[in-house]
Amino acid sequence: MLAGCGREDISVYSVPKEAPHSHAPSLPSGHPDIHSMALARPELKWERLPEGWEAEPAGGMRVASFKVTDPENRSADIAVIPLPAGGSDLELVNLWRGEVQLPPVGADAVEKEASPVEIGGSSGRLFEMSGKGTGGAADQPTRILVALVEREGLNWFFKMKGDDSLVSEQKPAFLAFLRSVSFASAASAVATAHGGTSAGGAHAHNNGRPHWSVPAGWEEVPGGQFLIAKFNIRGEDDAQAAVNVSTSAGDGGGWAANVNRWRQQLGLAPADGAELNRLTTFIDVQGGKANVVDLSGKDMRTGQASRSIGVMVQQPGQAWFYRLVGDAAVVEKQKEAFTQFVRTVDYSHAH
Amino acid sequence: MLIERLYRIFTSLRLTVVLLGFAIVLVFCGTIAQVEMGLYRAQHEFFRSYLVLWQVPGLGLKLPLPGGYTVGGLLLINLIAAHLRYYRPGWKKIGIVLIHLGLVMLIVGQYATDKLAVESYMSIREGEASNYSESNSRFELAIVDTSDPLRDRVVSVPAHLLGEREVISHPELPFTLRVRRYHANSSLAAAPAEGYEEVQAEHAAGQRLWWTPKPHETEMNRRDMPSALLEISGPQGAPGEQFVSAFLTRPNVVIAGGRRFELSLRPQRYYKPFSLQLLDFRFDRYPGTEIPKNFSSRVRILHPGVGEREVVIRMNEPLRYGGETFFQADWDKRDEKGTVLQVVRNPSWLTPYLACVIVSLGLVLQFMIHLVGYISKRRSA
Repeated sequence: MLAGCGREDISVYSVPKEAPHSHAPSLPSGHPDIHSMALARPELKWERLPEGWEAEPAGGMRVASFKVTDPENRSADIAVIPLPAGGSDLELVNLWRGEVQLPPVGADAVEKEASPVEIGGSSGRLFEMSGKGTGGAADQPTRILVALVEREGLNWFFKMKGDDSLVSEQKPAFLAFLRSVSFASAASAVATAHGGTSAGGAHAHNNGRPHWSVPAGWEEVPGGQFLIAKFNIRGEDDAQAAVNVSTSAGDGGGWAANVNRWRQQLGLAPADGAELNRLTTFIDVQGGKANVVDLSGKDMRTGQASRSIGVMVQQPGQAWFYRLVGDAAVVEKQKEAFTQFVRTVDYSHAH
Repeated sequence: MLIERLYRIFTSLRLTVVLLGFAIVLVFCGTIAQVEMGLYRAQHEFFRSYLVLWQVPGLGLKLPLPGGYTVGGLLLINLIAAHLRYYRPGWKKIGIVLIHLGLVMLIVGQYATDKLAVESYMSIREGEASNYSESNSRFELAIVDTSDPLRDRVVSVPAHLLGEREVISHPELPFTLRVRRYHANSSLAAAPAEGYEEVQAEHAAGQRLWWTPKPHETEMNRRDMPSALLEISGPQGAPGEQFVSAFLTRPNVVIAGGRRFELSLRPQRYYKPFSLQLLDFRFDRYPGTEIPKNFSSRVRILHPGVGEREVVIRMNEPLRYGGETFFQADWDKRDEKGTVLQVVRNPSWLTPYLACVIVSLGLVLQFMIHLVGYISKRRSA
């Protein structure tokens, strides 16, 4: 018994072909999100760097990193970090306040701390706080500028931290930099590399994805770990809708379960068999017919009125789900393009 | 003479006390060492070993200590030997016998758990099904022959072999892999950085990459992320170098011998003869607050040839199926529509329960025997 077990060697086994999971392997909590790193790493572009700013290696969660140092040896660090939207402003603001040894504030004070700022053509918010540094710059006068904007499900943070007087002097340059940036995602770059564009109606195909024609005006964005693809559509007056594409092994839990999940997201009660039959319509797709459901309700997360068109395409051993969801007017306008998109998907190259 | 001396040593109560003393020291040092080593390595080096060289913090001194297996093994021998030496047949000592039996079972059961238990994780999105779990600490170089339209043939090379062997070959592969460089823990960057070297080989990330070795992770919630630079050579010459990394989720594609292979360095997979389909994940909170009340996953077990059934996995209410236990461990933080189950295969999971029952029974019996004896003595007096 005390001899112990030997270490394992090369092994060989056969497995049924894997349906493309819409998730990536699990990671322990606290680990950097490696999946977004190689596949859909968001990218930031800027016209030119302010004078004195030097680009640094963008490791960890940063997509861009800069440093500014002056002859008096004062320095400041600038980081650009995209994070999935979520988390409360109060927590973030108090986190930054903690970095300059300021006491936490209440929720009502948070809004007062924010001022509007333009970031890459979108309106964001700017927070500014000064106090005494911690860690390496312990008790040195330190100032933090943080600008944040939400885009395509990501919160982009632009943070400048460093010597109090230097950061104050650099503030105009920081604001000019914010105005000059533009956002791109690696996912759309991949689509382009395969001969398609994200907005030109061309034929795009990626590893494991079926062939499809993306309608004009749809912007492909990173779908995260669980989606095969995601497209954003902008309507008038900042109204938005999104198209999500996902896939599941087998029947993906079945039509009824999925429709009721979508209903739940719109605050609607689950539909029974008869109601489901009444709601379901069909369209012709490659290899047969697909189920369609058109639902209107209230987005349970935002409280806004929302409409959702869901389609399930059953392929051998695998179900594909398409959802157009968002502002009712945008959904109405895009309904035809969406249906056409689903109709033209060619599954012969999907695996 | 020698045998008699050994017999006396192994049956002595002094040895028991010394071993229990070592056990206390071991637990203390192992706990301190966790700060530097992290939980996993400390557990491995202090408790799953025969000899420990403990680096005394603050001193350049290494102190040898008996490891967990040595202490446990000697305690086991001591327990059995002492029992045989002092045991006198008769029902009056039945409680003592049971207590000893329970303790033996506890020690043996723990050793079996250490050697046989496998922990992994299964992530499932609502509506989807999965038939494999993945290790949290082990990686494999998976070379998947995807030529067959229905099934994939997987040659799995445990990642540590890349650090131990120069050449990896297998009769199922039409090529051999020469390991140019292997880092058991590494970091990648999307831009040049100090200490990082540009990857000059084929890889599937679709962008320029830089890599660097890193020391082993010691924090409990982090893990090593290996990367390797491999040279593939086959009968038709050398198709070139391939870069694989645990950071890259998309496999490299290699065409060789008329077959299509996908190469990736991925968490070690454990396939099951059944699938679990996630029907619903719930994260209940106390009304009006963000305080978690309950996490649960409603899953359907799909076992071809056996049948289907639905079960709910909650915190503290795991699913036991197919010799494995599925615990509710984590969930998809973005929209709460995906679950992560911890999967533990432990063939000896019942032993601690049985051991506790036997020890408790022994204690109660022994107490009752004494009590009854005492009462009857008083009555007769």
